[in-house]
Amino acid sequence: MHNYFDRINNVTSFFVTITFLIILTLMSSTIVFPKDLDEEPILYSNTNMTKKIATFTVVYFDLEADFEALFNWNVKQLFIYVFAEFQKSNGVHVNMMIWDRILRRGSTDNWVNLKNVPAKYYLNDLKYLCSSNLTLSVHWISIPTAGVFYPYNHKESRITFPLPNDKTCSA
Amino acid sequence: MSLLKSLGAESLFGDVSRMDKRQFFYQVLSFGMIVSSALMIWKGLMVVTGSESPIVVVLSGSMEPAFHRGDLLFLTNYPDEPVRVGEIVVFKVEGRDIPIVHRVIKLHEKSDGSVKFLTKGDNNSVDDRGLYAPGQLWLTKKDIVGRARGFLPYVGMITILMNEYPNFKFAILGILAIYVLLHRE
Repeated sequence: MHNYFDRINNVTSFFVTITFLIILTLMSSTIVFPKDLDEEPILYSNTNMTKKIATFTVVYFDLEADFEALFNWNVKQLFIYVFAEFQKSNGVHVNMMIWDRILRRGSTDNWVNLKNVPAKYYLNDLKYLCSSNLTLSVHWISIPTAGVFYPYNHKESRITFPLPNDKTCSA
Repeated sequence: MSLLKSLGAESLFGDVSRMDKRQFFYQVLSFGMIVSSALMIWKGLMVVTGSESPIVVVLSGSMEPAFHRGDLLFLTNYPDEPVRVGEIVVFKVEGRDIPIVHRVIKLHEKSDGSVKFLTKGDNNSVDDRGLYAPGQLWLTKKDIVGRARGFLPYVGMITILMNEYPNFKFAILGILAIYVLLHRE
């Protein structure tokens, strides 16, 4: 009964069992850790910081937040993003990312401090954006080293301001 | 011959020569049992998760540093769950065999509730419109295979190896099949 096939088989199944036990321990050991920031991130932008360039609207914004508190040994990276919502005049509700950054565990720079930076992704469909309100908020999603993705759980800071009107709107 | 001996082949074929007809049918049945329970687990997962492919292997580096080639993703695809911006989804594009794992960056919702969205890989500098079918600008819910819910690194490398070296796959499957059929419980 004790030939090499049996031995390989036993070693493999032992390895798989132990791996899954380790992953289970890893996942359950981080349940007590915070999934939310200590302080609400500071996000600021206003109508004057929002510029129309050619056929796009570029939102400039300030963001200050310390994401270090969200890291533990089962958080490989955080994907943080500024989320914009607005209603177009044709009735379409738009949700989009305007800026994102990947923070990694072990990095010394998990404190985000941005002043008047332009968004990475622009708002288009300019002719539908007149007299719309823009709502910005900060969100994040964590990716584990192994295990389940934690559900969305945020202390989000939310600001709303009207998009600028210009001569293209009155036409 | 000494090599075969050291591999345990003697006791293996010894098992066969000692088998009678009933024993042999029993072996065939237990082989069928293994195949059908694997199929049952896969189909059962499909029912529980609502996804046509509940486990996928990441094949490209377009989501680095979140996912690398060979990582395993567990998906769910419940119809009443809304698609959200920031979420990682797996979708299929017409004319491409392999599903793509990317993040939703923009979502349009019409007043009648219909939703269309745009995706981008974290490691790509542009959105996915170049990857979609010609003329396709948006994805809709029917394109989705699932949303990423769980993650296991490296394990998918086995699948990648098997797909890249089909001979290796046949060798492994062959050895396993012969072992199950010939080995006495």
